[in-house]
Amino acid sequence: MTNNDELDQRLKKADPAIKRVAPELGEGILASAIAADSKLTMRARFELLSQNLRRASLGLAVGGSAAAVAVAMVLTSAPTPLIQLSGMQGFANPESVSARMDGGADKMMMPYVNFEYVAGPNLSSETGSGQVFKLVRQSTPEEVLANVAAVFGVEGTIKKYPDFAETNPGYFFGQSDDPWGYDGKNPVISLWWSGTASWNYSNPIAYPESKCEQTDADGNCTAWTEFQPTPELLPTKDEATAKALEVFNATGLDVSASEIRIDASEWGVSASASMTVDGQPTNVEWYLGWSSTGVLSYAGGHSVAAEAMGTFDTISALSAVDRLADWRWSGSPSGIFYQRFQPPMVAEPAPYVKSGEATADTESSDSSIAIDPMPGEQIEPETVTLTVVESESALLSIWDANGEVWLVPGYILVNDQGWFGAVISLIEGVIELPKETEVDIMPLPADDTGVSNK
Amino acid sequence: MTTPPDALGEINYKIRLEQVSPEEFTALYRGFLPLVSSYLVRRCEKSDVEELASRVFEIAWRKRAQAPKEYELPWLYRIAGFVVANHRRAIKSEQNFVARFRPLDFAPSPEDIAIADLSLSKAWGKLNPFEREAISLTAFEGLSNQDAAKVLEISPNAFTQRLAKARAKLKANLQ
Repeated sequence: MTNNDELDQRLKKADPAIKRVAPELGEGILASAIAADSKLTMRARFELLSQNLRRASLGLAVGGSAAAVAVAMVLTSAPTPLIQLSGMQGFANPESVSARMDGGADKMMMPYVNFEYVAGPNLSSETGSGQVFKLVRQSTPEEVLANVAAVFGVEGTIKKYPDFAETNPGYFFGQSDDPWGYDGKNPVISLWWSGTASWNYSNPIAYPESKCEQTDADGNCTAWTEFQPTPELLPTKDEATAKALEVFNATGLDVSASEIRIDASEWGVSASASMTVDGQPTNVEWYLGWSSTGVLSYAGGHSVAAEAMGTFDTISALSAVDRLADWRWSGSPSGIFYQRFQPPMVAEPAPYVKSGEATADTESSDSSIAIDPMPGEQIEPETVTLTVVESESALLSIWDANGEVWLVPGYILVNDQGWFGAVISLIEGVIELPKETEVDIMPLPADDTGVSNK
Repeated sequence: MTTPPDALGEINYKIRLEQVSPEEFTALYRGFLPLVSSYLVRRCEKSDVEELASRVFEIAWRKRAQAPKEYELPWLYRIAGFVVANHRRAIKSEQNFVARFRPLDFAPSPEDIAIADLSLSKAWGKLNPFEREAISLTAFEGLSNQDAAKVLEISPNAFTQRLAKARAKLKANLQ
């Protein structure tokens, strides 16, 4: 496939809107948007949340109690264990909860495969202990933005995002009055003052000028010169490492050159490094990137420090295998593990095959067309058994119900397929888990099988 | 829809300085409802489209004074992109922490493409989110390079480069 026309045709046929017909939106949406202009009161937010939860509950075939539990998880504050885990992982505000619940349907559309986990013979049955850390934001939004701006030479003023709220504390810094501005000329630094106080630097001018090759009758350019890579403009690995070290250290990450990871291609170079806590890498990461012109185009980091909260007993790697099937015990490990154990780039959904029909050859060069189930038809998910063959201790990050981030001991459990799951190893009782809900696996909605006339 | 670049190759943005009444807002944006619906359904579950569209137009109404004249649709897509990215970030509970620190992803996912073309889906999945969105805006939304550049908040030059790179990469991935 090298022909542009062929590619265009293939893309056109793959347009997701052909398969999923876009619903018709009434003008009521515009009227509602105008009416909703004034800020929502807390009561209104709660009512909105309740509506969303009820809707999600119906759609997901989850009992009404699930919605009540979800509301209670977020809105109550009765911390008895050390950590009250967020059922919504990082979203302690009602709007996010509603989005999470609405999106739950996605998770149910996907599992044509059920995974069962069994422990291999080499896993240890030894229990132990591990330190728990709370990540505490450092400084103030104003100081963090001023420091990052000085590092990147950005001038401007600090502003709040248009949808700024106590539960959504977004700031930005630069010469634009709007983070969604359209000048395309000014670098912007954004900061989310929750969790780890993550900041991002974006430089829209890190690209070369292009030349017009073709204009239409009105003089509008319709085709520009296709750019070629210019690897000679990119920093070398040593140069990238040195710059990353300078930026990371200046923005609060204490790392050495040997801890910086470089990823380079002819189109750009990126550098990243993990915050190390108690000698272990975490998924709190800093990064830096150069565009093909060799100009710094993006960066990111945090303003946070780890505070030790005590040592707690941990279960064995062997016992931890049982937690793999329960998402509530999952945590986020350092990106280093994703580099070492890479899952497939693309989830390959098994084409649905009606009983009695031959299995499609998914490896064929011909484009396979997945067949949707007929309305009311049941899908029997395939069960795949994964054997955990290796374990490794790691610090995992989790969000609590108040929107704070913790680092807790866990295991990287590597399976015989070469990828891994990350589960918390703390004994029960240290973390209050959200209540587990039963969710039925449903076939795709019947109305998704239509074809649009787009 | 598009305005020619000026001598420097940059688009002259005409910011709407006057206030927009509810009637004007409705008249101006009702024509975009099906386009926004299509944009969202390419990137989200159909059942989520109506609610996400509501969020898009709520933001659009609040920020209506900042809508660039003659570029209202790219501006709406820009807002919709953030709404989609936030929605996705919220639903991936087990990946939230990582996702917060990665570039926003509002392009159609490999799984969306896989519905029609599995091998294209594999190649699609090897593109980064910005590359996917550059192709999507032109191939699916049918925008010109200039309009698509406005959606991504970059210059037309930068967009052209990104699109060319993305298409070349996609073609290479398909081989």
